[in-house]
Amino acid sequence: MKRFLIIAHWVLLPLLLLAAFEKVYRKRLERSPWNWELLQQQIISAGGADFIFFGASRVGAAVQENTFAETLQPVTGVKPRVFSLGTAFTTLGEHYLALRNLVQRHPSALSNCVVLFELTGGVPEPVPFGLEHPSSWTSQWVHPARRALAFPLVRPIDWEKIYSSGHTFEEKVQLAAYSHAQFSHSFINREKLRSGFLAQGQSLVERKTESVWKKNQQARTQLDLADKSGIRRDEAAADVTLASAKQWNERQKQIQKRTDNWSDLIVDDIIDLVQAHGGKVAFFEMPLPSVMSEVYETAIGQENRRSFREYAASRDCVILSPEFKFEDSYFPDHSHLAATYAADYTKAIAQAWIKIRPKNHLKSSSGE
Amino acid sequence: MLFNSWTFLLFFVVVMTLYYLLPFKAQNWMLLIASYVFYGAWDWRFLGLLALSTTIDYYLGHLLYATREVRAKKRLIVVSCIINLGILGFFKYYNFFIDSAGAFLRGLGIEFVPPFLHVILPVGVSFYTFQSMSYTIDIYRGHLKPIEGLHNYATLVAFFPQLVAGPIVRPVDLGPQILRPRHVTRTHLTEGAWLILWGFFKKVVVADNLAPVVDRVFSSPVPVSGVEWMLAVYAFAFQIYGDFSGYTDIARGLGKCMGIELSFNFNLPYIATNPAEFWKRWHISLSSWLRDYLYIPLGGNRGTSLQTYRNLMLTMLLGGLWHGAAWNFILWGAYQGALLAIHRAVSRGKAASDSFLLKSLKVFGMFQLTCFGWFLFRAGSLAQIKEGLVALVTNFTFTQNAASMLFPILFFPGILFAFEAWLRNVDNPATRPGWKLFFGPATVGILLILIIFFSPIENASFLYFQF
Repeated sequence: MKRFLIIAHWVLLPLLLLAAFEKVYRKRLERSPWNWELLQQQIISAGGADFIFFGASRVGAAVQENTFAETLQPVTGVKPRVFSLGTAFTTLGEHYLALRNLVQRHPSALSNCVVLFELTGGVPEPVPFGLEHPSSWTSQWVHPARRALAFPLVRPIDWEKIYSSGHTFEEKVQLAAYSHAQFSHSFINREKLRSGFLAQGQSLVERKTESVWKKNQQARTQLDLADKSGIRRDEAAADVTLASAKQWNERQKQIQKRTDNWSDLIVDDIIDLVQAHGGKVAFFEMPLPSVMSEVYETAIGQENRRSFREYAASRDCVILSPEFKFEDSYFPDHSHLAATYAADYTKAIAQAWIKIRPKNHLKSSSGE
Repeated sequence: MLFNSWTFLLFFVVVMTLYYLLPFKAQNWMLLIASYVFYGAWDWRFLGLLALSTTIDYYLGHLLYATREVRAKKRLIVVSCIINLGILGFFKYYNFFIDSAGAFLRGLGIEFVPPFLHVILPVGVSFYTFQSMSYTIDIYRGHLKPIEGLHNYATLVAFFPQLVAGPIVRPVDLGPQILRPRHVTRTHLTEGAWLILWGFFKKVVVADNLAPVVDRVFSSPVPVSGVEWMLAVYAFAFQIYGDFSGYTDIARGLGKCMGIELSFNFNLPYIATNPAEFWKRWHISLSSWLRDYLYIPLGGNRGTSLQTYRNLMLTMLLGGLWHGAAWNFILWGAYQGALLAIHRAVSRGKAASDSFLLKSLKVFGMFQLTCFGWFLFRAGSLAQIKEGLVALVTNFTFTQNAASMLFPILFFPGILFAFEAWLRNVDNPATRPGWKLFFGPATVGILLILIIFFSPIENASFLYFQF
């Protein structure tokens, strides 16, 4: 008995410490600036959403929720509830899982809601570098270098998607393990916790030593980009993105292939899910600098754009082409639209929606 | 298959379950198969090389033992060394030497296009080659009887916890443990679990969080200041310590869970007061291997002072080259040899009894010398060494980047130091007096929290796998 008590003690005390940590983390989570869970809670507490933007960091940089809502308000009579989930390195697979989790918890959350996805070069593939296009459940549908983004989203019912994916065995085991660990918020968000802690510590030391380093150099300048969605704003980011874009373009030109099986891809599951829950899917053209759009201007790229338009029309989805003139200088890091132009672009998306919106949209909305 | 991967966790659960269920003889077979699966997970093509090296040394060992004639014995041991060093040389050093020869000839104005081999370095080849060599050399010296059963010897060489990054276990130590039935006690299990936990902390919390700080400077596309170089080298000192000693602790812990003791490899190396003490505390299994199989056969300190310095230099040069086929490793080896020779010349073997202050100053000074060595070790090229040295002399300014590097450099080594001071190198906190009720379980809980929440998601490979 004594032996059992000692063993129990050695197991229980560490477990109690872990439980205490979880409790502290959950309190902090409420103040956390961004995560899937928090946005889901916001949508649920707002009683649903009228517009949800999905996409990678380019959406985070270019779409302003409030501007979009205010542009629509004079036309709709109510201020629509707009949410943007544009986040760096997120994939269509993760967007599907986020929507699926939302409707599981709140089945009417998408009722009468427009879910908007970015189109890059006319096709719905939000992650620019490193992944196979187009996204299917048998491809790598989580960015291998950003697996932590998927951890809060995967559930045990996703085992088939995980095991049939193109990920390595290690990545599959890891995703499966996290799908069973959803009871712990701190565990599934641990990368966010770690990087947040390090960023706070680094910024504290930078502030405390400012008087010393300012004698030697100017403070780092920040690029004119939105400070959200995981977008790097330091000057070095521009060089990194430019190099990656060039490398990616070369690779894409070699492996680019015609896509006409849209109905077998993740985008089709997304449309099914949204429409089954009373929502509508819309796609909007994202402005791209020439270094990134080049790869979509090839004959195959143009053919894919055309076939996707046909497919979208056949699935009763609209494609918005915002009237927004831009040039390469609008993209300070060769990828994201500058914060200065985000409002104009957001208004242009809203105007494009106003032109084609169904007459009764938002009339029964419970917005502000 | 990295220790810090989910795949290894699955592998470990399966292996341990089978290990506890099987009788002794079947355990060795199972360990052999598991070790080959573990090694094959990196690249199955090198399994043949491992099996070949093992088989040759197994039969050479038996031949050596059976041979009475001294000259025939010498011939056999030379054959064993040529085969082992030949494998190492072919896979690890061929391209380096042929490239260096090409550069030398081009310097003399002779046109020479080096015939490079397109081979990749087998993981852990330096470790298992040294281990295999010590088997035949020990038999030759009469220190060891050959191991009965090829599968037993193969298990010894390929034993998965230590196969790819050590510690370099001598067959004289591991052999009897492989041959005799092993009894796993509760002490083995608690010590094993503790070492695994402690090793994980050093690897995933300390080393993996310092890695980006180091890489940011050593892989920077733009010139960085001398202060940034200095901070990156300090970070690397703790990264390599956390990484390598963490691996060793995990390996030792895994061994203990199977009732097998692997040798101690690190003993708080950064509190060394001089180079000789440093090498008694750092990578002990390699330094003692080099001492017993290279330094002493070269003459050790039995000749004149000059001969001793020569032996020290040669031993450390080869020790440097063992780490990798690059000039920076040779430079690092030469630097370590020079430090040992200078220390020997200055101290003349006298043991000093220093005050606390003087000892602290010596620890500080030795740490700076060690860090300069790590700078040579980590540098990607001779050009980078020059770039770093120029920055240290001409641009020693504290920048905003340097400020942002300070936090991880202070925080992660700080908690490592705090724990090492607190634990004082204990192998099992459960048996420490007064720790059973609170301090032991609380330490385990805190380490678990740190490991779970401060380990980066992307698994970082162990630095010593490349050697």
